[in-house]
Amino acid sequence: MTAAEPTGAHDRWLVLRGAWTPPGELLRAVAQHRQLALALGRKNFHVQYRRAALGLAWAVGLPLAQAVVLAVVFSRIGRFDVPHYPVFVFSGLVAFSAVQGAVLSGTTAIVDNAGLSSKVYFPRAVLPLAQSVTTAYALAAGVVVLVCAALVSGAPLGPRLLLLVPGALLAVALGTALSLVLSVAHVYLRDTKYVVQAVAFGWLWLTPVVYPLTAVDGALRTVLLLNPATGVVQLFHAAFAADVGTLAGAWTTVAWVLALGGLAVVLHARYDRVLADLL
Amino acid sequence: MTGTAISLTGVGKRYSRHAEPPSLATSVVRLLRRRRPASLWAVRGLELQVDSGESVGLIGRNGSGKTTTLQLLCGVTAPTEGEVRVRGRIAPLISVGVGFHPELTGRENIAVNGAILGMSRGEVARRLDEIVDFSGIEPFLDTPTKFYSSGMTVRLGFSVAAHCSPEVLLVDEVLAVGDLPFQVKSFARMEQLQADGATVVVVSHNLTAVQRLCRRTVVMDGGRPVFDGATEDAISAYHDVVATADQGDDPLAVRHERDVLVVEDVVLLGPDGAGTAHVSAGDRLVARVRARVLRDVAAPFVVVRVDAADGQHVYRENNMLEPFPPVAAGSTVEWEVALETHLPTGSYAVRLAVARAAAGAEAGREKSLSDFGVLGSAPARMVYVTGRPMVHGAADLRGRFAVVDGTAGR
Repeated sequence: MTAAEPTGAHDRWLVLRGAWTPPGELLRAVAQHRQLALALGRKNFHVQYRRAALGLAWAVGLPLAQAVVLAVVFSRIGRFDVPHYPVFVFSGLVAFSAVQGAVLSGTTAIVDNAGLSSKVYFPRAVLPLAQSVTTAYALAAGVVVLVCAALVSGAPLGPRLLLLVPGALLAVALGTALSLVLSVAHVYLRDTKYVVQAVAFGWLWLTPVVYPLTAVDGALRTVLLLNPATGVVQLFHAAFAADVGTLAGAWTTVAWVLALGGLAVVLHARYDRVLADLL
Repeated sequence: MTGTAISLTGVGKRYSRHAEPPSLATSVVRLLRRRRPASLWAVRGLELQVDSGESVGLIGRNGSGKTTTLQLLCGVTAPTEGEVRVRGRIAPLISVGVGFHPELTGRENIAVNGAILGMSRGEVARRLDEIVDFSGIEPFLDTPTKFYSSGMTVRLGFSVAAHCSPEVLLVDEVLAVGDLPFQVKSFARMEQLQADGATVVVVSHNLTAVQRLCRRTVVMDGGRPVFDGATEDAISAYHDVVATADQGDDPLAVRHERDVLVVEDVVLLGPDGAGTAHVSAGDRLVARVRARVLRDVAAPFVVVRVDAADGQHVYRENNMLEPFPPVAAGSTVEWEVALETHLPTGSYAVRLAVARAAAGAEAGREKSLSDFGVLGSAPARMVYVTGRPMVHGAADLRGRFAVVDGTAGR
């Protein structure tokens, strides 16, 4: 071996007995492959926008266009009592579309990269994680535009903006946890993708994105409070609001992330080494 | 580095035979019928120990479990039973260029592919020059790979995989990438990695490549190793396995005249007169056919055809002009043709057919096989010829090298 070998991997054994990977070993393998997740995430991002003339602008342009439409429509028909309503809608949408985007692209990540997975081993979790990296890039760009838009529209900007940091982290964490679980499910049941697409559409309306949580009561309110995306959207809303209101939803989201994360670890520990058989 | 690098003990891998990727509908149906999907053992009872720095070839027919074994070794899939142990950094040289994205430039693809193979960014940066040099794509390094020729893509893929300083290199049929100069370079690189102490497992149908890279070879058949030993002997064993294998469409089986004669058996005999599947170049190889005659044939003759493993047509001859004596219904006859095997190293398929001149065909003016009335043929018999060391090409013309004029110091 070349003397300059930096990894010192000479005495590292790969030991396979059955499909189960001990979770500790799996997490270590994922940590070792973080460069791969970053490289693939960057690749996705580049590839997505390279051909388009406006390039990166589309990453934030789409939620912005969507926000404009929704803001115009709902300031006519809904008339929610929310100050700086367009900023409210836009901030909610930036947060929600980050979660939704991570889930939609993460669900198919393993199946879409079948060619890669059947040839080379790396923890399959890296593939949905790479999609989360892509989402994080887009979200970062979205947040910058969001803050600029808020500045222009005269929404109150203060230290509360810092809520965007936990908001963004939580958005990526939730999207990642969900797509880690769904990406395994999609390998076994190829219908998962369509179920996710259908649910994702309804999800937007069951999340207080274009309306405040206070506008809803009864059973629907309970649903909204259990919705893991509510907490993320609340943090984004609160960052631009004069009155922070309740952030209880954020803790619900944290609980969801932990539960889904635990499920994801179990699923990947069980199926990581045999997913390639079904690709 | 010494000791064991690869250890497979009692390894079995079972696949369920899904006709198509699973869907909700098929799963529900299966659940309702309480039927488990049919399954298949791709390998079973696999035992293999490979020392560090050793090179092992893995040969066998399609579906014999070679690729599954390789997948188990690189950890893409886990065994259903038994234990797989591999030590050190594993680099699969399998379908190189996998993971290349056409929109990314050569440089960006090197970074992504390097990460896939487990290299850190620093490592990729340090080896970039070597990789680019080796692949010879330097002028196009910052061009998206979609503008590359297919040859450039595989060259770049091979270069990345071959420069990640693997301790265990798994090679699957990729030795024939790029043009001839690049193949020569690839071979040299493989030999360099071997010299550096890498453990190498080569899966290939190219027996010449296996022979060149590995001293030891395992023959697989039906998911089990059936032979493990010196490559020369393994190649003989492999030919025993494939000797009776049906070779698919038989090019001699054209225009069969039915119910005239039944070819019962074809055997290949070596110089000592015993059945063989392995000869040295120049040896006498006898192909003998036994046939049961159903109807009288006035002037039967034999067509012999030899094809190289890559399908290249090497030789065909028949004795139409000097046919065998007439044969009568109810008899069993044996004919043979002796061949001098002046051939380069490689596997050859030998096919025999019994024929008679087709009605109306002009004697001695054979244009194609359809000018014969083929009475019976047998599936190909395989033979491996160990050629003289420096001979390449379709035939060994037995060149003799000599000085005509010229002495030292003049």
